Amino acid sequence: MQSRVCSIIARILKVPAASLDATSSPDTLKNWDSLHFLQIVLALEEEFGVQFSVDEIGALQSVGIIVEILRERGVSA
Amino acid sequence: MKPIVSFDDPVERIDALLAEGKHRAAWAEMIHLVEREPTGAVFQAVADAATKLSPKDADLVPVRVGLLANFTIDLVAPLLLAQGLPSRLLVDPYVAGFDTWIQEILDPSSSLREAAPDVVVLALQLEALSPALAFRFLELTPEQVNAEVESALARIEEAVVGLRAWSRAKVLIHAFPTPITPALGILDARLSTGQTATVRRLNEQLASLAERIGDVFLVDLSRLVASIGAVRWQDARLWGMAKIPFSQAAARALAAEYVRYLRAFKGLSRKVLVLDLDDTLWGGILGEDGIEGIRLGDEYPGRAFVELQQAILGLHRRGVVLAINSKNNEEDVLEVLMKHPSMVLRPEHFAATRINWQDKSANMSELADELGLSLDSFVFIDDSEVECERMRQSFPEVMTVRLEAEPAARAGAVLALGVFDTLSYSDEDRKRGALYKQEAPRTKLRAGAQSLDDFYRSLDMVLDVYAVGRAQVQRAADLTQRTNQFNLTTRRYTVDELTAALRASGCEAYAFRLTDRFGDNGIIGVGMIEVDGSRGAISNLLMSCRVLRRTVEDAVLAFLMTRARELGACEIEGRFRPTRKNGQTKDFYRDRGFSPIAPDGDTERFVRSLAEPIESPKWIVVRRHEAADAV
Repeated sequence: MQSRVCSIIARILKVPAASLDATSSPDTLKNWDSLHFLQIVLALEEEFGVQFSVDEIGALQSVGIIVEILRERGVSA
Repeated sequence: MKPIVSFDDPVERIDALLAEGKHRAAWAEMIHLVEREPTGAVFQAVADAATKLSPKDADLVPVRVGLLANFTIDLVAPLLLAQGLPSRLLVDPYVAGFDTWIQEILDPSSSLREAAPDVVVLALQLEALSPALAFRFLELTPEQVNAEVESALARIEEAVVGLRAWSRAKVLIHAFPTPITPALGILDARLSTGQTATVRRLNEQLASLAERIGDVFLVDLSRLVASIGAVRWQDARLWGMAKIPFSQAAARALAAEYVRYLRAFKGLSRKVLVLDLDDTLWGGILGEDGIEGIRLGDEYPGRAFVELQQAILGLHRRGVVLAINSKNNEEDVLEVLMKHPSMVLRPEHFAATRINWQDKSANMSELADELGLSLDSFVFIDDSEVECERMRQSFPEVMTVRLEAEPAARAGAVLALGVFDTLSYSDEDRKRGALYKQEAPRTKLRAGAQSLDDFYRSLDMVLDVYAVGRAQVQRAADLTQRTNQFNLTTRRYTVDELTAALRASGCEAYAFRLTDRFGDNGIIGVGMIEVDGSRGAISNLLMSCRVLRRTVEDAVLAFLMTRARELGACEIEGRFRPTRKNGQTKDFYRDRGFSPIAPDGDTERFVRSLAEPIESPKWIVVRRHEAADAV
């Protein structure tokens, strides 16, 4: 699942997917501004068929956390 | 769910093609990817990659679009870029800062001005423009409602007039959607003073403002909201977090709607609808089921095919040229077209047909040649994924649409394509399909005539020449928008621009109508001349490809030269500005005794003395008509 998450983030932020890992976050990626972040959230929802609450969205602050929250929401693989 | 990342990632492939300088191939990959996988991540990745495309190498039409809004519209920009690509548009979006629309227009040093947009979108939400009308409607007296309406309109007008002071950009204004939860609930709809009626009134006045200022168009937001549904249109989270008043799905619908306008502005609307037959126009396979066995009639599923045909006939009446590209026996098909009691489409509706067993892409090229229209104006509809994929591979510029599996959903889907838009609708449009249809007997006649002169003579051609006045200006402007191949300078005019040009001194425009023994071809060409003292110039010359190769262009040229001489010119300059489409006209002036002189930027110039005799083809009768009413 992490590779799918990274692939989406890579496409939106225009960075190589291989450069991303669980620790990638707004602090490590300069393109990760608020509008790009929203696009990432919407693309994740589209890809995994989930919808996040505003509170959850606020918490999605690194690749690792995104994967964890997706798992909590019952997304597998 | 399939993983996005495969060993061969399409985005990486696009990057590689761009790095190799293969822009056309990169563009084709981009539109395939968007078609296959229309997700937010793909749109963004394609939009990023598209900024590296060279419009020249990829044969795309660049257009700069300024997006001004009183809400966050940023998410629409990459969608606009990605969704414009299949129509050969390369959008360069400029997004103004949040709610800075008035400043961007009025400030002489604004970034919008620097961006020099061709098109400006003015997207205003009533909630921010007039919170009183949106949220406190019931607290207002009728006078206060009127005052709010006036004030909102005045601010919009100030902005548009302010823009006009420095830009000829076309303007798209969002009409306000009627409220989903109107102030007075179920009562609102029947009150002339209700919130719904007030929003409608505001929109009517916006429409008259648009008409008054010119080159201003309204985006019918209510229709867009209705088409995807108000529930899907909104995403309360995005509004709460980022002042984005619509969902991701809505942003895509909005971008797609803007693209419809951009296509029409740039002459990129589609003109031809090419149809498959078996399991497309009727259910079943004619060759196996026979005329009795195909599904077409009053009961489902036959009814669904009748409805699809009715939808297609409606497009034909709008001016869309219809053609057939089918693997079948021609005589079997003709029998169905002529005799099947439930057929809506009949032989007279099709301008050209290719019913045979050869490859459909080969048929497609032949149809383009026969109709004299380029493939990027074609839409191809088929039920077979194999045929569709093959067509996409052969001709990415053709819009290939695979029909949905459910026959009952197909009529609606075809009507929703939204790619045949024009900026006006005239009698010419209503007749266009039939006009192309007349070409066929003429082509046959050409094959039979003994000499070319005999052939020309046998056509009994009459060329009516009209000085462009109020009656012709719409049609003339239309032709400048629509004509790509026989178009010497490819200068596009809107009605307002053409009117302004004609009001300038020394400029005249003529519209040409051709009648022959097969019928009236309607207005088929426009020529513009400018005369300044003893020097004349043909600043614009274009003709519909339907009437080429019968010397009509020579009669038109002879007329324009004669007219320039009447106005006092001693010599005349012909201009040619090359585009990807008008290569066939590059030697037009040289072949007619003009000598090349120094070019003016990208425009080649040719000159000819008017002292020498001017010859017009003897077999064309030219009749001149004065303008009844100047523009």
